[in-house]
Amino acid sequence: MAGVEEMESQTDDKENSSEKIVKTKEKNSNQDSEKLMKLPLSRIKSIMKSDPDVTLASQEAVITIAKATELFIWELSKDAVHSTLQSKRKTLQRKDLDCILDTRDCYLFLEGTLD
Amino acid sequence: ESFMGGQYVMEGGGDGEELGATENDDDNRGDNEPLREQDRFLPIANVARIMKKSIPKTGKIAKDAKETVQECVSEFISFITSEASERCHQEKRKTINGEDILFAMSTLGFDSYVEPLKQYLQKYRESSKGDKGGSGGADGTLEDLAEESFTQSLSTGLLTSEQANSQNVIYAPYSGAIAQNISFG
Repeated sequence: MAGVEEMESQTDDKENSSEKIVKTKEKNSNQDSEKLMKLPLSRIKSIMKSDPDVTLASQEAVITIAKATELFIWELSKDAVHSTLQSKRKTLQRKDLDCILDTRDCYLFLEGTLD
Repeated sequence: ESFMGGQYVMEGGGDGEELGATENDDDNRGDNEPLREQDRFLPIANVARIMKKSIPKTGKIAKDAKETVQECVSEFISFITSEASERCHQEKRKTINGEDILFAMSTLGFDSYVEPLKQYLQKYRESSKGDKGGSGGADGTLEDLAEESFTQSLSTGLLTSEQANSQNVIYAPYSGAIAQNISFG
């Protein structure tokens, strides 16, 4: 576990420093960029279009999925961190995600993804 | 007629710019070819940034957890899209729109997302009204959306279908009152 924590803090440092840079830029640019889309729309669109049955998707559809994806990540993490805290750990691990998958019906579609 | 070589299709009755053509590096791949590994997932940094919002400040996230969420997210997108696409086909439409996505969310057990997403879409539509053509509307113009209040409404579940309709959306999270779009008469 210590190895994971060390690795994580290194990654965090990198991310923190880049986040600091971003935050500085955000402050300079008037708070508008804080509201930017957090996920790349083009990538989301690619994933959508990898389905052979999908022909066209409107801009609004992609935007909606992008926001829904944010909510999904947020909710998934929030659920998983309960398991982390119960195990008295500070690092959210994959097994915490495994743990919470059968706690909500809406996560059923993920069965098999985490094998 | 199509000056973009047939890749860009305009559909009457669509609710915005169609995304048949892509604006960047995705173009050199045909539709429905398998994605490269790195394109099948959303960037891990973006995913991790959102994850961090839901965990305590002192918490950390293991790399394999981030990767797992990356995979789950792509599954999520495909799952919703597939359902929305089915509905579209049933109604003999070719373009998946925002309503199809909302309907799919509701059908697939993500009902709690629908109201926050509706609000979000409303703001998006309002903010992109000023842009002719709408292409700049997607990124960076959603200034009115407060991220925290948005996710709060999801977690507190205050928006019920009785309260919210398209004209009068009043939502007040527990920790403060934010009244939006109140109109009388």
